[in-house]
Amino acid sequence: MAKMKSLLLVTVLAFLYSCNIPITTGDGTFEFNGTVSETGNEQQVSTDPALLPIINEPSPFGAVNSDVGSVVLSVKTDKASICRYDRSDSAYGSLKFSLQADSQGLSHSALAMVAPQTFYKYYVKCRSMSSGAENTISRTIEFSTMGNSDISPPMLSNALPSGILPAATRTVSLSISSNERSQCRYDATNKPYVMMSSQLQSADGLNHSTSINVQNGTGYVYFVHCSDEKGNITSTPSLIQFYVDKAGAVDTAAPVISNLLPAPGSEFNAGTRQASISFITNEAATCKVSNSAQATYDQMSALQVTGSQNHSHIQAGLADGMSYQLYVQCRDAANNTSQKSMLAFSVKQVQAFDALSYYTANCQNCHGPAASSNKRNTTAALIQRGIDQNKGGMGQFNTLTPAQVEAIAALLKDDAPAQAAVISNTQPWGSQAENTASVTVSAKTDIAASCRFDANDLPYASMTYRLSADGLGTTHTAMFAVESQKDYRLYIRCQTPQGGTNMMSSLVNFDTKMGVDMEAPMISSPLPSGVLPETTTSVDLRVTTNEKSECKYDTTNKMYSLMAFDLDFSADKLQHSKAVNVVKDSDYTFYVGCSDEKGNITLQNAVISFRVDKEQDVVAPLLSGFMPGGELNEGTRQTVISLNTNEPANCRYSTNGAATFAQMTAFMTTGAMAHNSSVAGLEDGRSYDFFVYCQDMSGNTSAQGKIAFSVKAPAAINGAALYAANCASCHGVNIAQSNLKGRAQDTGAEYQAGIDRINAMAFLRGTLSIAQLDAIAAAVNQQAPPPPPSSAVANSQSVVLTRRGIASKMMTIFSNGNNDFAEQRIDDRILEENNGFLGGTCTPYEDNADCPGASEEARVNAPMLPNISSIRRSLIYSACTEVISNDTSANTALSRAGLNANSGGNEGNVRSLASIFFPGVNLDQEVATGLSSLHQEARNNNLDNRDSWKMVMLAMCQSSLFENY
Amino acid sequence: MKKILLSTLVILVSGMFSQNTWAQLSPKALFVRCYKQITQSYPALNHPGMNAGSAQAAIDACLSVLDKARFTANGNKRIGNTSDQEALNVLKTMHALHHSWLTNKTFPLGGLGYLNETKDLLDYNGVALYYTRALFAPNYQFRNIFRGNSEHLQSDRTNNSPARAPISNREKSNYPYGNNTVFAPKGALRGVTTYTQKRFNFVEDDGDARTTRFDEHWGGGVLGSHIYVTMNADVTNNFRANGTILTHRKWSRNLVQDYLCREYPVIRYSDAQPYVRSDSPIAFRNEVGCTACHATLDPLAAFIRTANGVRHRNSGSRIIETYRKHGISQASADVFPASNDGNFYRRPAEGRFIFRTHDGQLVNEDMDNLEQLGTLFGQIDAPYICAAKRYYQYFTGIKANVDDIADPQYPNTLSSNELAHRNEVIQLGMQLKQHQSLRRLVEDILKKPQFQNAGYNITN
Repeated sequence: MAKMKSLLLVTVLAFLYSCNIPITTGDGTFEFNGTVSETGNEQQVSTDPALLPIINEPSPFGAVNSDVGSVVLSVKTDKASICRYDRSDSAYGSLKFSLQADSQGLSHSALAMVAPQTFYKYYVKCRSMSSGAENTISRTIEFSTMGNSDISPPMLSNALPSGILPAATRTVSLSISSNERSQCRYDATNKPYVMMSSQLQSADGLNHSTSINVQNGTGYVYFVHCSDEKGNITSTPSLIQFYVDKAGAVDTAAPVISNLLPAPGSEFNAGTRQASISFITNEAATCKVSNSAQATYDQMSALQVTGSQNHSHIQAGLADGMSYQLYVQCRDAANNTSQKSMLAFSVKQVQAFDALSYYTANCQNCHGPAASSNKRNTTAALIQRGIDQNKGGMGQFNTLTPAQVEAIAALLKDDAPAQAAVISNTQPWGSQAENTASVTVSAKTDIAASCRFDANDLPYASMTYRLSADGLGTTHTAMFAVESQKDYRLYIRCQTPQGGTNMMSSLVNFDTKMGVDMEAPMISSPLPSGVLPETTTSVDLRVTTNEKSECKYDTTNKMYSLMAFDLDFSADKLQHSKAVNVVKDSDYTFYVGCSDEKGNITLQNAVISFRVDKEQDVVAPLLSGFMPGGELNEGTRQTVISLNTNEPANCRYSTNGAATFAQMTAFMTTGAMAHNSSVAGLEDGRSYDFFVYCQDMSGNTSAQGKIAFSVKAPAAINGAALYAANCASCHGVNIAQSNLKGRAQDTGAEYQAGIDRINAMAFLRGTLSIAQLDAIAAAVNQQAPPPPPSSAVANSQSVVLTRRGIASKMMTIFSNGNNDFAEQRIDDRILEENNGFLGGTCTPYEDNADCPGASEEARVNAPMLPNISSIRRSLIYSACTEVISNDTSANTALSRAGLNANSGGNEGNVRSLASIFFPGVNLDQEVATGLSSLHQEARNNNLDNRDSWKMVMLAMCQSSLFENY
Repeated sequence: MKKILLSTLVILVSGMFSQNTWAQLSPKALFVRCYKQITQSYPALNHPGMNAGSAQAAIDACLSVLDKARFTANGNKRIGNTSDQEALNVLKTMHALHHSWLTNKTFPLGGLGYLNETKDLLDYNGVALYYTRALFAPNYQFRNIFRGNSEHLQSDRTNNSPARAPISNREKSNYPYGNNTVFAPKGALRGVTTYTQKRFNFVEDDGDARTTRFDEHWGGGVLGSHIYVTMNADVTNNFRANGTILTHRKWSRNLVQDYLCREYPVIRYSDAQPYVRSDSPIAFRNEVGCTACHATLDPLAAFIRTANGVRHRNSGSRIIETYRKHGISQASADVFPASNDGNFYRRPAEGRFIFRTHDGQLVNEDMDNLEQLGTLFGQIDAPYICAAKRYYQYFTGIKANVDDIADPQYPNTLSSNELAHRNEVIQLGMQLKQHQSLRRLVEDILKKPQFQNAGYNITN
């Protein structure tokens, strides 16, 4: 019976003292209408099983979809009950959370926040509404949230770099950020994530980057896809686009600032004392910050992290209740300065603990209004004890600080001081118009009060200006006279009728500088630039300004006021130009400074730099002043050849009229416009032609010039007489019928070559000068005009052996394979002949033995069908003479013909020998007889038989058939 | 005195030698004549061909020597027996003959001037190889000399990867590519190899990676091969053809000489008249005397308008020059502009071929690229007649006329003999066009009476 009474007492008291208490947990916020029974310091609970609520149908159970981020927890009870739950098991009263009961108290539910892929176990206990009996054993709600609630791809941002990068850039870091842990790939073409070729690296899964090499003058586009940890892949790629400027390009673009943080209007919690600001630029830049909109870039403070495209800074010294406006400005390597960008944020005002409001919200239901509370004059210690011991559920107030508990106790004291009004919505803030004469200062209070303000932070009573005209109210305004272009900081305090005044003043902070132009004009688009055509004679120097300005220019970099020349300006004073004269092949640099209408002057002048191209020189130098000319004195052995050009040039000369410039010899003095060189070895009676080419500094080669002169012959030379004395015995007594006839092209030099080579003419060596030989040639040629061409075809020529063919023929006749002498002579005289007379092209890619000699040009250009010439004949005959002089060679030839050194010189044997010199050719009878006679005549001259055959062989070598067959 | 008399006698006797120029050569003499022309060497006195019993047998014996050089090994790219000296002599001689036909026989040094260094890496025999392959590769169609836009030819010699530069004998370290340098082959020619890609990578002093390419091709077989352009374009670096002053005229001039055997002008004044631009600022557009050449030269050069000489080196290395293409970034325009076209070099490499054939027919074709011109070369008579003219001259010494002699402006009058040789050559050329075999052309010439009589006289 006593027990029954106790239960009844609990129930009654429970209904007497019912409170609505909000509960905040880590999983969410719930409200419940529960009943707490309080009997002083005791609480009586029935444990009779019959009276205990039976908890059924715990839900959810098993796996649940957690995509929405929450689940409904629910149980049912067999009797009207109040239920509580928690993630850990404890007594009913200690379970932190309540389930909302339906009107009958049989169904109970609550919303719980859940995370994906998590197992949850909640403990539920209930208390019977009728009996107050509480479960001592919990019923559990157990479930798991399902796996992948994340079906969203990562979001990407801050794709960098972008815009135009300096020409000097050689490597760049491709970077991008994701809003969740991801892996990112990139490619130069747009393709699916899995097919992208390159991976961005990331340490935290959120910031991804890699370094690549780039080259100037090239644009780059990369596509980026990312996959989060759940495999969600971005559906559209993010682009990283940038351009590496051309080498030499003039960077006139200012950096562009973006992605400013904190975002405009951001509000930090009270107590925040520093804030991180950050932003990016589209190119590498150095950025500065200032709290003044008027500060120039140079007056600003450098950011802590800057220089690249990412910039950040810790702004310290923040105070509660303050608004901040910071200005940032950046400058790139080319000294282009960006526009200023503003960062605006504030720090919340510390909300003073309002003991009365707190009491009214949380305590009044149980203890009555503060003024008549049943806890009047309680102490802070007692309140704290109630919280600590959770009296009447007061444990929920355990977040109160001791000072706040003190404030509540003070409120309940009979002698509590008057409450101050809370001031808010103070105005004005920020910049006011430049010419503002007065502003309206205003504020609001939560309770009726009167307010004052002052430029100094004085006690309420000492403040100068009345904001409320001493009237009571919650809205307070006053006009305040201001001056132009000034900063203002005003302090506001209020006082309630009960005498409550603010311990701390509130602020208004503003200036009257809006519209004041303190910025220098910005100059852009300086023109012209680059290389202008050589035909340019006048250019317009041009710049553009961003505000009305007047500009000057000069050829040296100096202050605006010192500049010598004015630029003309357009009607709107934004376009500025001036025509200046220029000349080709010159570089120009002009500096431009401007002043706006407020007199703000550009601190950094714009540069106009360009070049007028050099005229393309396509004109070859002209040659003149060829010296010497005519006839030099007899006995002249050396002279100076010279010429002039009409422009600086390098000149060369050669005695070969077919020689190219590259093949010629450089003048000793050349490079300017006068050119000369000394030539020696001149001979009397000779004519000299020096062919000249000159090449100017642009590589234009002149027409061929010629310095022609002769050295006077010592005396008239009688060529005919010399012929009679020296040549007639061999070439015919009658010069008109000389067998030298037909060699109309012959010269004294060629005669000399024959004398030098042919042993039979050795007796003439050293006896005749070139001049004398020239005279003989002239006499012969005068007497012997060239015969008319015998061929009916103008363009026909004999098909004769080339160098290699002749050597091969001679080896076939004279060499037995062991005869080094024959081989050596043939090599020396024939194969190593490299001037092209014998014909037969070969290239240096062949083995040296196949293509001997030093002149690649001569070898490669040697004809495959060489012309017959006296020089060619002389070379062959000379080789024959040397080879035949060797007995072994002669014996070999005789042997090949079936003869020997003792064979007789009859016609039959002569024909046998001829068969190896001219295979398949049937000698005319006259020739065979002549050869046999030659052999006999040799014998008659006391030559032995072999030497007589040598004479026959020489005749065969000398014949025209030797080359042809 | 004794010696003088004997010497005189020698000279006198040697002057007595003569031959009846109309006489048919003996088989032995005919064999020797043929043998020495195809080998530039002398047959051994016991060579089987020396015993030929008839002219036919002598020529057959000679042709069997010629056929020793056929490319029957290495995929029809190399002679069958590389140890056969006779075969090597044939190949060497005929290739040298083909090389001798070119206007430019070595790299020109007027462009960048560095081809003199480049020849250690790039064999300038590559141009003549097109003819050499056509002569010796079995079943090779002559027209294919002018077809293809990717294949390049290179000599196959006894040492195809020499350790030192084949001409200068420098070491590989002297070149930008260091040990990766691959020199041109060295030694006796054995055949012809082909390549489509020949590139060397190196790093410039500023750290930039570069590639030297010897494999750009403008199409048209030999005409646009890298080697022919390199041998003939002769332009400076950063050369930007503008269609007038700046064009690849040396190439178009030499091309007509080398493969059509013609000297400019190759059209008549009446053909050139429509191309006169009297108001042009370009002097050689103003008069027909100029456009008679330039109307062919300039639009023909437009086919390789993109060609640009570039030079590559790094610190201390020899400078290597090669030819690369400018990119195409502009639309088509007049291939024969009246004034400078600053974008000419970066327009599509279209061109025009305007030409009067030996029989006075006007060829005037606009084409999209050089490959199309190469195809045209296979269809007109001139390249065939030119080949016939070259071989005919080598074997007989007679330089036949193949000009447009019906041109009213033609300055010469041909003798009956000259006309006869001209007709012989034209006939040989038309036959070549029919059978497409250079070897057959050679055989036809060797069997001509004018090759077989002592004085190379024509007998009909």
